Formats: sequence, C-alpha cells, structure tokens
Amino acid sequence: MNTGSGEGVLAACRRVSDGVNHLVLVVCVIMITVMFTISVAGIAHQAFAGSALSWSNSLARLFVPWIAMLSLTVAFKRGEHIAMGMLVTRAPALVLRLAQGLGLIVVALFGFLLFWFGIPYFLDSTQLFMISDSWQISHHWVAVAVPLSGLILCVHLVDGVALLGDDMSAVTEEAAS
Amino acid sequence: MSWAVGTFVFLIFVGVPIGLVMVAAGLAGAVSFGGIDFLEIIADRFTAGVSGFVLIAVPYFVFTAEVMNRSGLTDRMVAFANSLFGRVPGALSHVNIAVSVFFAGITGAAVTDTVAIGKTLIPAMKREGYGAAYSAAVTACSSIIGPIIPPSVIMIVYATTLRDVSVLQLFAAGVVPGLLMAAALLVASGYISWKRGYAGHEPIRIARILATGIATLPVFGIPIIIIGGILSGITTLTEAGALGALYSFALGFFVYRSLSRRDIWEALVNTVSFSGVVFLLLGASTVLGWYVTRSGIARDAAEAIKLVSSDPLIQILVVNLLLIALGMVIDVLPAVVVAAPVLAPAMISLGFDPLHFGIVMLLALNLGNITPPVGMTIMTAAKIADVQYEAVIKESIPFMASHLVVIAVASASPTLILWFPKLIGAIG
Repeated sequence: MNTGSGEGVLAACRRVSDGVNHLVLVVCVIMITVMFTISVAGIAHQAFAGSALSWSNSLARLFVPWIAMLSLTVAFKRGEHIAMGMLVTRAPALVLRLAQGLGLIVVALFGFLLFWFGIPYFLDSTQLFMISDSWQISHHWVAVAVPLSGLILCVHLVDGVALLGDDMSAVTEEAAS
Repeated sequence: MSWAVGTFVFLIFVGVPIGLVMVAAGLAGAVSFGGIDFLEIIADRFTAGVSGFVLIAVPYFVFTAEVMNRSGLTDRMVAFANSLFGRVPGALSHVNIAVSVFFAGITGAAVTDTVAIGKTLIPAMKREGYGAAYSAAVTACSSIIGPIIPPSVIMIVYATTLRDVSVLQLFAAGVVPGLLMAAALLVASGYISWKRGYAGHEPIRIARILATGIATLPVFGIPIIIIGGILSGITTLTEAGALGALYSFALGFFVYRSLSRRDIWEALVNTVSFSGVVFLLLGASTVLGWYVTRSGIARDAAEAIKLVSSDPLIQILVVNLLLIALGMVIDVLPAVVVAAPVLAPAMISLGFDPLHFGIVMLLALNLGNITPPVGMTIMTAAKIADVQYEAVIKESIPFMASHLVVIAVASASPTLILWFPKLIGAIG
C-alpha cells in the first residue's frame, strides 16, 4: 500500500515536471519569437528609415540569459546534454548504478547551487541596463532567471537517470527489460 | 589545481554531462582557493557566460538548420550538384561532397548536415551500387566541412569563450581551409571511385545545369544572405542570423509550401533544446575559465609545450596530436570549451597568431566527429545507412587521411589561413 501511494506521489511529481517543462518550452519559444521580431524590426528600420533603432540590440540581448537558463533545463529534461557515457555503460551493473547515482547528485547539486546562490545574486542586483536614453531595465530581470532555472532543474529530478542522456538511461531500460 | 583536475577526470569518466563536469571542476578549484564561500561565483560567472550579445545568433542559426532539414530543400541542392559531375566515375560520391559544401554555408553543424544529406543521398548511393559503409563514410566525412565554412556554431562558441578573435575573423578564416577540405575529399573520392569502378551519370548538359540551377537559386539565397552579409560587413552576425532564419522560413512556408505548422513547432522545440546544450557549455566554460585564469594552468601548458621543442612547427603539430586525441573522446563542442581556455593562451604566449591557431584548433577538434570511439557523424551516418559503425570507420580512413593533410597544411601555413581575412579587411 505504501509502495502504491509512493508510486502515486512519484507519478504526480512527474506530471508536475512535464507540465513545468511544457510551460518552459512555450515561454522559450515566445521569447525567441519576440527577440527575433525585435532583431528583424531593427534591420527593417535600418533598411527603410536609414538609421538604426537605438534600442533594438540592447533589448534583444536581454532575452539571451533567459533563453539560455530556461533552455538548458529543457535539454536536461530531453536528456540531450553531451556526456561521455561509453566507458561507464560497459561497466558492471553495480558500477553503472553508482555512476548514475553520482550523476544525479551532480545534477541536483547544480540545480540547488543555482537556486541557493541565485537568490542573493537576484536580491543584490543593483545594475541597470541602458536600453535607450530614457529607458532602463533593472538587472533583476536577468538575475531572477538563475534561481528560477535552478528550481526548475530540481523539479525535473523526478525523471531520474533520464536526465543524464540517452546512453545512461538506455542501459538502465535494457537491464530492466 | 589537483582538486579541479581530479574532479574533472573522475566525473567525465563517470558519464556526468560535460557541462556539469566543467562547473564542478571550476567550483572545486574555486573552493581550493578561497574556501566554501567561493561557491557563490556560480551565479555571476554562469550568467556572464550566457549573456554575450553575439549569442543572440545561436538560436537563429539552429532554427535555420532545422527549417532547412524539414522543408526538403536538400533535394533541390542534390539535383543541381548531380548535374555538375556527368560521366565522372563515382559522380554521386562527388555530389555528396559538393552538397556538403553548399550546406556548410547554411547550417554550420556537422550532425545536422549528416542527417539532411544522408537521408537523401545514402539510399540513392546504395541504389547505384555503392557499398552502404562507403556511402555512410563519404557522407559523414564531408559533413565535417560544415563547422569550418561559415556560419559555424563552434566558431561562435570559440570566440565567446576566448575573446582574442572575433566571430567575423573566424568566419573569414574558415573559408579557405573549408574549401581545401572539400578539394582533398574530392581527390580521395575520385581515386576510390576510379579504383572500384563506381558509375558515372549521363553526360553534362548545359540545359540541365541551368534548369536545376534555377530551381535551386532561391535556396542559395540563404548562404548569400548569411556569409555574404557578414563577410561584406553589410550585416552584423546577429542580423545575418535573423535574416537567414526569416528567409529560410519564408522559403519553406510560403514559396515551396513544404513546411507545415507542426514542422515549425518541432523546429522551434529542437532549437530551444539544442540551444540549451550550447548554453550549458558556455556558462560552464566561464565558471571553469574563472579558475583556469587564476590557476596558471595555461602558463604551465605553454612551458610544457616549450619543453617538447622550440620549433614552432613541431609545437603546433604536437598540440594538434593532443587536440585530435581529445576530439576522439569528447564531442567537438565541449572539446572546444574545455581546450580553448588552456591551449589558446599558451600558444599565443609562444608567439602563434590567435586567429591562425584558433582555426587549426577547430580543424583538429573537428576531426573528432569522424574518429572512433565517439565519431558523432559516423555514428549518425551508420544509423541512416543501416550498417555497422566499425565498417564505416574502415571506409573513412582515406577521408580521415585527407583531412589530416589539410590540418598539417593549415598548421604549417598561417599565410594561407590569414589570406582571406586580410583580403576582406577582417584583420589588419
């Protein structure tokens, strides 16, 4: 019964993780589209009006850290980060299990450190980005992406070894079958 | 230093994602300097690594490649390249190489080129009597021209990691070695085709060249916008990336109507995911770079290279061997961010030109795409051809040799690498 309820909780956590990932994907796609639109607007203004838009590049670059921090969680969720798994996947089952456990601990630590040190990084941000002469954006906008991505990564930990890439998870699936 | 190096070596062999290995090694080194409080550098350094203005272009180039692959533009290129080789023995093998050069001017990532070209040309080559392993080998080995001819994601990553050279300079310097790679591959392909008696096609007909050329003309607009725009100075890198993405999208969706809404969504999802892979490595390289700069590893590396020989040619060839060995076990993208912060400053301090060494380094690491055990393009092509990885490796040996010749020539001749950047005014 305990096992059953444990599996139920795990399944619920996985649904949350999937939902968060889908939301992050949509946000990333929207951000890339907005950044792209700003870039194209800058080019069009330069081509047709003969002068550069003063704010287009400065504004577009503010999306990069957001896209970067969020997209790396998507790549984790899809198991796409590059690892050198060829040695450990040929190792005995026990060694493989230990390696997978260690890999997951490193992912968890990375997520935790981004979250833990990202909060004071966000709170202490005093810098201002100059978008134009009359338009400034607080560094808080960029800094908040750090703890948020750490938190998202921690949520995805429920996916287990799948986060470590195809090589590592495929071996586990083969062993299970 | 031992903590950082120990952490790096241990975690990399355990199979931890390489980006996280670099973060862990950088933090281990930082803690060995200043205690546990230094862990806080992760937030600031990681963000700094993924905030560069030039990085706006990364998702644009990835999206362009995705759209190219999904909208069937490859078939048009193949038809045009096919019309150029006529009765030459092994025409389709040469077509494969020529299409890789066209493609290199659009996507700039070896594996995407392998998939796009391989799915069309490997089955066609097999139907014409080429061995499956040979078809996969020529596809995989020509795809690695992609990261050398601009645009190139690894060049953006290199320039962002080091800042000694600009992306524009690297793009300009990649043109000549990229074309040399194609010429060397054509020589190897020509010799093998002649020896094995591979078939040619119908005689060359001007009318056919014109017909397929006109049908492909809009596709050639993509490299013209991207490479022409950047190298002529008309557009910046990010503007060229945005225009290339917009143009390829318009071509696939409005002109050829081969791009569905589902294709666009999947292209965007893959763009986000692959960008995430690149951004983790960039952020991680800045965390590791923080430690490398303070530890003196680069200075020690320079001393070690000087111990080997005082002859610059021997020095660069020894470093090439090291880079090729590194490329054999680590994928080219992480290999660039791992090796560049240590070896580039070391070689520059020994008197090598930063741009010359940058291109030589990328050429040497790029070879890792086709060398065992982690030859990504070979693995991909073998999968498409449905043939054993080892058989493809065997057929790739002549092509690997031709790439080695290009690396040796590029290493020995800075003038060759720097000629085109000087010609277009990218360097003084």
